[in-house]
Amino acid sequence: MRSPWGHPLQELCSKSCNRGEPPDAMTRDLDSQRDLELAILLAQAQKGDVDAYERFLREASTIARAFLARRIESDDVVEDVLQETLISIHQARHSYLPGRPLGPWLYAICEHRTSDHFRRHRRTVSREVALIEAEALSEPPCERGSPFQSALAKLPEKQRRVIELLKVKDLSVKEVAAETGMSESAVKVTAFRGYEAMRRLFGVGPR
Amino acid sequence: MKTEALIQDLAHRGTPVSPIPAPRTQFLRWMLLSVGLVALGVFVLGSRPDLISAFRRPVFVWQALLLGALTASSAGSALVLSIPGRHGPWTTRIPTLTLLAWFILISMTLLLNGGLSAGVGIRCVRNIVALGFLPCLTLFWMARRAAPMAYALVGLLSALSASALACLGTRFVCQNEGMVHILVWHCLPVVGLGLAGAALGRTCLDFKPRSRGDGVTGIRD
Repeated sequence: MRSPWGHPLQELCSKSCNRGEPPDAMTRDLDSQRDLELAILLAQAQKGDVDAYERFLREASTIARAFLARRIESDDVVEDVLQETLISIHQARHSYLPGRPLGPWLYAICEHRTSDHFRRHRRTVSREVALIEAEALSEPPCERGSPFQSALAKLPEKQRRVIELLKVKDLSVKEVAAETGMSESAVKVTAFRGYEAMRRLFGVGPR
Repeated sequence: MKTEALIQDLAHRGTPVSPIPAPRTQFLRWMLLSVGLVALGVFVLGSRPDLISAFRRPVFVWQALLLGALTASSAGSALVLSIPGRHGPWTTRIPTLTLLAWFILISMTLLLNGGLSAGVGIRCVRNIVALGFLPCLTLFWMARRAAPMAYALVGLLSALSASALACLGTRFVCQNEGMVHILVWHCLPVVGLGLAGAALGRTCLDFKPRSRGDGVTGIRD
Protein backbone atom coordinates (compact mmCIF):
# COMPACT_ATOMS: atom_id res chain seq x y z
CA MET A 1 0.00 0.00 0.00
CA ARG A 2 1.65 3.22 -1.15
CA SER A 3 0.39 6.73 -0.53
CA PRO A 4 0.94 9.85 -2.58
CA TRP A 5 3.34 12.36 -1.05
CA GLY A 6 1.26 15.45 -1.50
CA HIS A 7 0.86 16.73 2.06
CA PRO A 8 3.01 19.79 2.93
CA LEU A 9 4.27 18.07 6.07
CA GLN A 10 5.29 15.06 4.02
CA GLU A 11 7.19 17.23 1.54
CA LEU A 12 8.90 18.92 4.44
CA CYS A 13 9.71 15.50 5.73
CA SER A 14 11.17 14.28 2.46
CA LYS A 15 13.52 17.31 2.49
CA SER A 16 14.57 16.58 6.04
CA CYS A 17 15.15 12.93 5.18
CA ASN A 18 17.66 13.95 2.57
CA ARG A 19 19.39 16.33 4.93
CA GLY A 20 21.12 13.53 6.77
CA GLU A 21 21.93 15.80 9.70
CA PRO A 22 22.45 13.85 12.88
CA PRO A 23 20.56 15.30 15.84
CA ASP A 24 22.21 15.99 19.15
CA ALA A 25 22.91 12.44 20.21
CA MET A 26 23.08 13.20 23.90
CA THR A 27 19.56 14.59 24.19
CA ARG A 28 16.64 12.20 24.51
CA ASP A 29 14.17 14.38 22.64
CA LEU A 30 14.13 15.35 19.01
CA ASP A 31 13.33 18.91 18.08
CA SER A 32 9.58 19.27 17.75
CA GLN A 33 9.61 19.69 13.96
CA ARG A 34 11.63 16.55 13.38
CA ASP A 35 9.66 14.65 15.98
CA LEU A 36 6.44 15.54 14.19
CA GLU A 37 7.84 14.53 10.80
CA LEU A 38 8.99 11.17 12.09
CA ALA A 39 5.74 10.62 13.98
CA ILE A 40 3.76 11.19 10.79
CA LEU A 41 5.98 8.78 8.88
CA LEU A 42 5.64 6.07 11.52
CA ALA A 43 1.88 6.55 11.75
CA GLN A 44 1.72 6.07 7.97
CA ALA A 45 4.02 3.08 8.22
CA GLN A 46 1.67 1.52 10.77
CA LYS A 47 -1.02 1.73 8.09
CA GLY A 48 1.23 -0.18 5.67
CA ASP A 49 2.82 2.66 3.68
CA VAL A 50 6.10 1.13 2.49
CA ASP A 51 7.62 4.42 1.27
CA ALA A 52 6.87 6.18 4.53
CA TYR A 53 8.30 3.27 6.47
CA GLU A 54 11.52 3.25 4.45
CA ARG A 55 11.95 7.01 4.99
CA PHE A 56 11.22 6.57 8.66
CA LEU A 57 13.80 3.81 9.01
CA ARG A 58 16.44 5.89 7.22
CA GLU A 59 15.82 8.84 9.53
CA ALA A 60 15.69 6.60 12.57
CA SER A 61 18.96 4.94 11.58
CA THR A 62 20.67 8.36 11.34
CA ILE A 63 19.46 9.27 14.82
CA ALA A 64 20.24 5.85 16.27
CA ARG A 65 23.72 5.77 14.71
CA ALA A 66 24.59 9.12 16.30
CA PHE A 67 23.21 7.89 19.64
CA LEU A 68 25.20 4.64 19.49
CA ALA A 69 28.41 6.24 18.23
CA ARG A 70 28.56 8.32 21.41
CA ARG A 71 28.42 5.18 23.52
CA ILE A 72 30.25 2.51 21.52
CA GLU A 73 33.78 2.95 20.22
CA SER A 74 34.07 0.49 17.35
CA ASP A 75 32.29 1.49 14.14
CA ASP A 76 31.66 -2.16 13.26
CA VAL A 77 29.97 -2.74 16.59
CA VAL A 78 27.93 0.43 16.14
CA GLU A 79 26.64 -0.91 12.83
CA ASP A 80 25.89 -4.25 14.42
CA VAL A 81 23.93 -2.72 17.30
CA LEU A 82 22.27 -0.30 14.87
CA GLN A 83 20.94 -3.23 12.85
CA GLU A 84 19.58 -4.84 16.01
CA THR A 85 18.00 -1.51 16.94
CA LEU A 86 16.32 -1.27 13.55
CA ILE A 87 14.93 -4.79 13.93
CA SER A 88 13.65 -3.88 17.39
CA ILE A 89 12.01 -0.76 15.95
CA HIS A 90 10.40 -2.97 13.32
CA GLN A 91 9.14 -5.43 15.90
CA ALA A 92 7.89 -2.70 18.24
CA ARG A 93 6.37 -0.38 15.64
CA HIS A 94 2.85 -1.23 16.82
CA SER A 95 3.73 0.05 20.31
CA TYR A 96 4.10 3.66 19.14
CA LEU A 97 0.89 5.53 19.94
CA PRO A 98 0.13 8.08 17.20
CA GLY A 99 -0.08 11.57 18.63
CA ARG A 100 2.62 10.97 21.25
CA PRO A 101 6.18 12.36 20.92
CA LEU A 102 8.33 9.93 18.98
CA GLY A 103 11.73 10.87 20.44
CA PRO A 104 11.34 9.14 23.81
CA TRP A 105 9.99 5.99 22.10
CA LEU A 106 12.89 5.86 19.67
CA TYR A 107 15.60 6.63 22.22
CA ALA A 108 14.17 4.08 24.66
CA ILE A 109 14.65 1.36 22.04
CA CYS A 110 18.18 2.62 21.23
CA GLU A 111 19.04 2.67 24.92
CA HIS A 112 17.63 -0.80 25.44
CA ARG A 113 19.65 -2.28 22.59
CA THR A 114 22.79 -0.52 23.84
CA SER A 115 22.37 -1.92 27.36
CA ASP A 116 21.70 -5.34 25.88
CA HIS A 117 24.90 -5.07 23.85
CA PHE A 118 26.99 -4.15 26.89
CA ARG A 119 25.41 -6.96 28.91
CA ARG A 120 26.25 -9.50 26.19
CA HIS A 121 29.71 -8.03 25.79
CA ARG A 122 30.47 -8.46 29.50
CA ARG A 123 29.27 -12.07 29.38
CA THR A 124 31.32 -12.82 26.25
CA VAL A 125 34.47 -11.28 27.68
CA SER A 126 34.17 -13.33 30.87
CA ARG A 127 33.71 -16.53 28.84
CA GLU A 128 36.56 -15.72 26.49
CA VAL A 129 38.90 -15.13 29.40
CA ALA A 130 37.87 -18.47 30.87
CA LEU A 131 38.52 -20.18 27.54
CA ILE A 132 41.92 -18.57 27.10
CA GLU A 133 42.89 -19.65 30.61
CA ALA A 134 41.70 -23.19 29.89
CA GLU A 135 43.75 -23.28 26.70
CA ALA A 136 46.82 -22.00 28.48
CA LEU A 137 46.58 -24.95 30.84
CA SER A 138 46.23 -27.51 28.04
CA GLU A 139 48.60 -28.35 25.20
CA PRO A 140 50.65 -25.52 23.65
CA PRO A 141 48.90 -23.81 20.72
CA CYS A 142 51.74 -24.51 18.29
CA GLU A 143 50.95 -28.25 18.41
CA ARG A 144 47.52 -27.94 16.82
CA GLY A 145 45.53 -25.80 14.39
CA SER A 146 43.19 -22.99 15.41
CA PRO A 147 40.63 -24.06 18.02
CA PHE A 148 37.84 -23.21 15.58
CA GLN A 149 39.28 -25.41 12.83
CA SER A 150 39.91 -28.34 15.15
CA ALA A 151 36.41 -28.09 16.63
CA LEU A 152 34.95 -27.82 13.15
CA ALA A 153 36.82 -30.93 12.05
CA LYS A 154 35.14 -32.95 14.81
CA LEU A 155 31.63 -32.12 13.57
CA PRO A 156 29.56 -34.44 11.36
CA GLU A 157 30.03 -33.80 7.64
CA LYS A 158 26.69 -32.07 7.10
CA GLN A 159 27.07 -29.64 10.01
CA ARG A 160 30.70 -28.92 9.10
CA ARG A 161 29.79 -28.09 5.52
CA VAL A 162 26.91 -25.77 6.51
CA ILE A 163 29.02 -23.90 9.07
CA GLU A 164 31.94 -23.60 6.67
CA LEU A 165 29.68 -22.11 4.02
CA LEU A 166 28.00 -19.74 6.49
CA LYS A 167 30.96 -18.61 8.53
CA VAL A 168 34.08 -19.26 6.44
CA LYS A 169 32.76 -18.56 2.95
CA ASP A 170 30.34 -15.96 4.36
CA LEU A 171 27.34 -17.10 2.32
CA SER A 172 23.77 -16.25 3.26
CA VAL A 173 21.29 -18.86 4.47
CA LYS A 174 19.56 -18.69 1.10
CA GLU A 175 22.83 -19.25 -0.76
CA VAL A 176 23.82 -22.14 1.50
CA ALA A 177 20.40 -23.70 0.91
CA ALA A 178 20.94 -23.43 -2.86
CA GLU A 179 24.48 -24.78 -2.59
CA THR A 180 23.61 -27.79 -0.44
CA GLY A 181 20.16 -28.51 -1.84
CA MET A 182 18.66 -28.19 1.64
CA SER A 183 15.71 -26.01 2.63
CA GLU A 184 16.47 -22.73 4.41
CA SER A 185 14.91 -24.06 7.62
CA ALA A 186 17.04 -27.20 7.42
CA VAL A 187 20.16 -25.04 6.97
CA LYS A 188 19.28 -23.02 10.07
CA VAL A 189 18.55 -26.13 12.13
CA THR A 190 21.77 -27.85 10.99
CA ALA A 191 23.82 -24.71 11.71
CA PHE A 192 22.21 -24.37 15.13
CA ARG A 193 23.04 -27.98 16.00
CA GLY A 194 26.58 -27.45 14.75
CA TYR A 195 27.00 -24.33 16.89
CA GLU A 196 25.70 -26.19 19.93
CA ALA A 197 28.11 -29.09 19.25
CA MET A 198 30.99 -26.61 18.94
CA ARG A 199 29.97 -24.90 22.14
CA ARG A 200 30.08 -28.28 23.86
CA LEU A 201 33.53 -28.93 22.39
CA PHE A 202 34.68 -25.59 23.80
CA GLY A 203 33.24 -26.57 27.15
CA VAL A 204 30.59 -23.85 27.06
CA GLY A 205 27.06 -24.87 28.06
CA PRO A 206 24.09 -24.52 25.67
CA ARG A 207 22.51 -21.07 25.40
CA MET B 1 24.44 -7.60 5.76
CA LYS B 2 24.58 -3.88 5.09
CA THR B 3 22.34 -1.57 7.08
CA GLU B 4 20.97 -0.14 3.85
CA ALA B 5 19.85 -3.58 2.70
CA LEU B 6 18.33 -4.24 6.11
CA ILE B 7 16.31 -1.01 5.91
CA GLN B 8 14.95 -1.97 2.51
CA ASP B 9 14.18 -5.48 3.69
CA LEU B 10 12.38 -4.25 6.81
CA ALA B 11 10.49 -1.61 4.84
CA HIS B 12 9.13 -4.27 2.52
CA ARG B 13 8.05 -6.30 5.53
CA GLY B 14 6.19 -3.30 6.91
CA THR B 15 2.73 -4.82 6.81
CA PRO B 16 -0.07 -2.75 8.40
CA VAL B 17 -0.18 -3.00 12.18
CA SER B 18 -2.75 -1.71 14.64
CA PRO B 19 -1.24 0.48 17.30
CA ILE B 20 -1.85 -0.97 20.75
CA PRO B 21 -4.56 0.75 22.80
CA ALA B 22 -3.47 3.54 25.15
CA PRO B 23 -2.42 2.34 28.62
CA ARG B 24 -5.48 4.02 30.15
CA THR B 25 -7.83 1.98 27.94
CA GLN B 26 -5.93 -1.21 28.62
CA PHE B 27 -5.96 -0.47 32.34
CA LEU B 28 -9.73 0.03 32.41
CA ARG B 29 -10.28 -3.17 30.44
CA TRP B 30 -8.00 -5.12 32.76
CA MET B 31 -9.59 -3.71 35.90
CA LEU B 32 -13.10 -4.52 34.69
CA LEU B 33 -12.15 -8.06 33.74
CA SER B 34 -10.06 -8.75 36.83
CA VAL B 35 -12.46 -7.28 39.37
CA GLY B 36 -15.21 -9.31 37.72
CA LEU B 37 -13.14 -12.50 37.86
CA VAL B 38 -12.14 -11.99 41.49
CA ALA B 39 -15.72 -11.13 42.48
CA LEU B 40 -16.85 -14.34 40.78
CA GLY B 41 -14.11 -16.25 42.60
CA VAL B 42 -15.18 -14.79 45.96
CA PHE B 43 -18.78 -15.77 45.17
CA VAL B 44 -17.72 -19.33 44.34
CA LEU B 45 -15.49 -19.63 47.43
CA GLY B 46 -18.16 -18.09 49.63
CA SER B 47 -17.73 -14.72 51.31
CA ARG B 48 -17.19 -14.54 55.06
CA PRO B 49 -20.44 -14.29 57.06
CA ASP B 50 -19.24 -11.21 59.00
CA LEU B 51 -18.35 -9.18 55.92
CA ILE B 52 -20.75 -6.33 56.71
CA SER B 53 -19.42 -5.94 60.24
CA ALA B 54 -15.82 -6.19 58.94
CA PHE B 55 -16.45 -3.05 56.90
CA ARG B 56 -17.21 -1.19 60.13
CA ARG B 57 -13.61 -1.77 61.29
CA PRO B 58 -11.26 1.00 60.10
CA VAL B 59 -8.26 -1.36 59.84
CA PHE B 60 -10.16 -3.65 57.47
CA VAL B 61 -11.35 -0.70 55.37
CA TRP B 62 -7.83 0.81 55.20
CA GLN B 63 -6.38 -2.56 54.21
CA ALA B 64 -8.97 -2.91 51.47
CA LEU B 65 -8.26 0.60 50.22
CA LEU B 66 -4.49 0.07 50.22
CA LEU B 67 -4.81 -3.27 48.43
CA GLY B 68 -7.06 -1.61 45.85
CA ALA B 69 -4.53 1.20 45.43
CA LEU B 70 -1.68 -1.32 45.11
CA THR B 71 -3.63 -3.23 42.46
CA ALA B 72 -4.43 -0.12 40.45
CA SER B 73 -1.02 1.54 40.72
CA SER B 74 0.93 -1.64 39.90
CA ALA B 75 -1.27 -2.54 36.94
CA GLY B 76 -1.15 1.02 35.60
CA SER B 77 2.62 1.13 35.96
CA ALA B 78 3.08 -2.27 34.30
CA LEU B 79 1.01 -1.18 31.31
CA VAL B 80 2.75 2.19 31.00
CA LEU B 81 6.20 0.62 31.31
CA SER B 82 5.32 -1.82 28.52
CA ILE B 83 5.52 1.05 26.04
CA PRO B 84 9.05 2.22 25.13
CA GLY B 85 9.88 5.67 26.44
CA ARG B 86 6.84 5.89 28.73
CA HIS B 87 8.14 5.93 32.25
CA GLY B 88 8.38 8.32 35.12
CA PRO B 89 9.39 8.20 38.76
CA TRP B 90 5.75 7.58 39.77
CA THR B 91 5.69 4.26 37.89
CA THR B 92 7.71 2.63 40.64
CA ARG B 93 7.25 5.04 43.54
CA ILE B 94 3.47 4.81 43.93
CA PRO B 95 3.31 0.98 44.03
CA THR B 96 6.30 0.89 46.41
CA LEU B 97 4.77 3.48 48.74
CA THR B 98 1.39 1.72 48.70
CA LEU B 99 3.01 -1.62 49.52
CA LEU B 100 5.00 0.00 52.32
CA ALA B 101 1.87 1.69 53.68
CA TRP B 102 0.09 -1.69 53.77
CA PHE B 103 3.00 -3.27 55.68
CA ILE B 104 3.16 -0.33 58.08
CA LEU B 105 -0.60 -0.53 58.72
CA ILE B 106 -0.40 -4.23 59.53
CA SER B 107 2.75 -3.85 61.65
CA MET B 108 1.32 -0.91 63.60
CA THR B 109 -1.95 -2.75 64.24
CA LEU B 110 0.05 -5.78 65.34
CA LEU B 111 2.14 -3.68 67.75
CA LEU B 112 -0.85 -1.87 69.17
CA ASN B 113 -3.36 -4.74 69.39
CA GLY B 114 -1.11 -7.79 69.72
CA GLY B 115 -2.46 -11.15 68.57
CA LEU B 116 0.57 -13.27 67.71
CA SER B 117 -1.22 -16.42 66.56
CA ALA B 118 -0.65 -16.87 62.85
CA GLY B 119 -2.93 -19.89 62.48
CA VAL B 120 -2.71 -22.10 59.43
CA GLY B 121 -3.33 -20.20 56.24
CA ILE B 122 -2.49 -22.59 53.42
CA ARG B 123 -6.04 -22.14 52.22
CA CYS B 124 -5.51 -18.35 52.05
CA VAL B 125 -2.37 -18.81 49.93
CA ARG B 126 -4.24 -21.21 47.67
CA ASN B 127 -7.07 -18.67 47.32
CA ILE B 128 -4.64 -15.86 46.48
CA VAL B 129 -2.97 -17.98 43.80
CA ALA B 130 -6.31 -19.18 42.39
CA LEU B 131 -7.94 -15.76 42.35
CA GLY B 132 -4.86 -14.01 40.96
CA PHE B 133 -3.97 -16.50 38.25
CA LEU B 134 -6.20 -15.26 35.43
CA PRO B 135 -5.73 -11.52 36.15
CA CYS B 136 -1.96 -12.10 36.20
CA LEU B 137 -2.04 -14.05 32.96
CA THR B 138 -4.11 -11.32 31.31
CA LEU B 139 -1.77 -8.56 32.44
CA PHE B 140 1.29 -10.49 31.24
CA TRP B 141 -0.42 -10.98 27.90
CA MET B 142 -1.26 -7.26 27.64
CA ALA B 143 2.31 -6.28 28.53
CA ARG B 144 3.73 -8.84 26.08
CA ARG B 145 1.58 -7.42 23.28
CA ALA B 146 3.35 -4.07 23.67
CA ALA B 147 7.14 -3.87 23.80
CA PRO B 148 8.26 -4.03 27.44
CA MET B 149 11.93 -3.31 27.97
CA ALA B 150 12.20 -3.55 31.75
CA TYR B 151 11.10 -7.19 31.73
CA ALA B 152 11.64 -8.00 35.38
CA LEU B 153 10.02 -4.79 36.61
CA VAL B 154 6.98 -5.22 34.37
CA GLY B 155 6.72 -8.87 35.47
CA LEU B 156 7.00 -7.87 39.12
CA LEU B 157 4.37 -5.13 38.84
CA SER B 158 1.99 -7.38 36.89
CA ALA B 159 2.21 -10.20 39.42
CA LEU B 160 2.07 -7.77 42.35
CA SER B 161 -1.05 -6.16 40.96
CA ALA B 162 -2.85 -9.44 40.35
CA SER B 163 -1.84 -10.90 43.71
CA ALA B 164 -2.88 -7.72 45.57
CA LEU B 165 -6.30 -7.94 43.95
CA ALA B 166 -6.46 -11.63 44.80
CA CYS B 167 -5.43 -10.82 48.38
CA LEU B 168 -8.26 -8.28 48.56
CA GLY B 169 -10.63 -11.00 47.38
CA THR B 170 -9.20 -13.37 49.99
CA ARG B 171 -9.83 -10.78 52.73
CA PHE B 172 -13.53 -11.10 51.83
CA VAL B 173 -13.30 -14.88 52.28
CA CYS B 174 -10.90 -15.35 55.23
CA GLN B 175 -12.37 -14.60 58.66
CA ASN B 176 -9.07 -14.59 60.51
CA GLU B 177 -8.34 -10.98 61.52
CA GLY B 178 -5.10 -11.81 63.38
CA MET B 179 -2.41 -9.48 62.08
CA VAL B 180 0.30 -12.17 62.21
CA HIS B 181 -1.96 -14.36 60.09
CA ILE B 182 -2.42 -11.53 57.61
CA LEU B 183 1.28 -10.75 57.61
CA VAL B 184 2.39 -14.38 57.12
CA TRP B 185 -0.39 -15.82 54.97
CA HIS B 186 -1.56 -12.76 53.03
CA CYS B 187 1.29 -10.23 52.78
CA LEU B 188 4.19 -12.58 52.23
CA PRO B 189 2.46 -14.55 49.44
CA VAL B 190 1.72 -11.24 47.67
CA VAL B 191 5.40 -10.26 47.87
CA GLY B 192 6.51 -13.79 46.94
CA LEU B 193 4.23 -13.89 43.93
CA GLY B 194 5.50 -10.48 42.89
CA LEU B 195 9.09 -11.75 42.99
CA ALA B 196 8.07 -14.86 41.06
CA GLY B 197 6.51 -12.52 38.50
CA ALA B 198 9.82 -10.67 38.21
CA ALA B 199 11.63 -13.94 37.47
CA LEU B 200 8.92 -14.97 35.01
CA GLY B 201 9.03 -11.54 33.35
CA ARG B 202 12.71 -12.01 32.54
CA THR B 203 11.87 -15.00 30.37
CA CYS B 204 8.29 -14.32 29.21
CA LEU B 205 8.54 -10.62 28.42
CA ASP B 206 12.04 -10.59 26.96
CA PHE B 207 11.92 -8.22 24.00
CA LYS B 208 14.86 -9.22 21.83
CA PRO B 209 15.23 -9.00 18.09
CA ARG B 210 15.29 -12.40 16.51
CA SER B 211 18.61 -13.20 14.87
CA ARG B 212 19.05 -11.32 11.64
CA GLY B 213 19.78 -14.57 9.84
CA ASP B 214 16.88 -16.33 11.43
CA GLY B 215 13.62 -15.06 10.20
CA VAL B 216 13.06 -11.33 10.43
CA THR B 217 14.98 -10.41 7.37
CA GLY B 218 15.80 -13.76 5.87
CA ILE B 219 19.22 -12.34 4.98
CA ARG B 220 22.17 -13.05 7.17
CA ASP B 221 24.57 -10.38 8.29
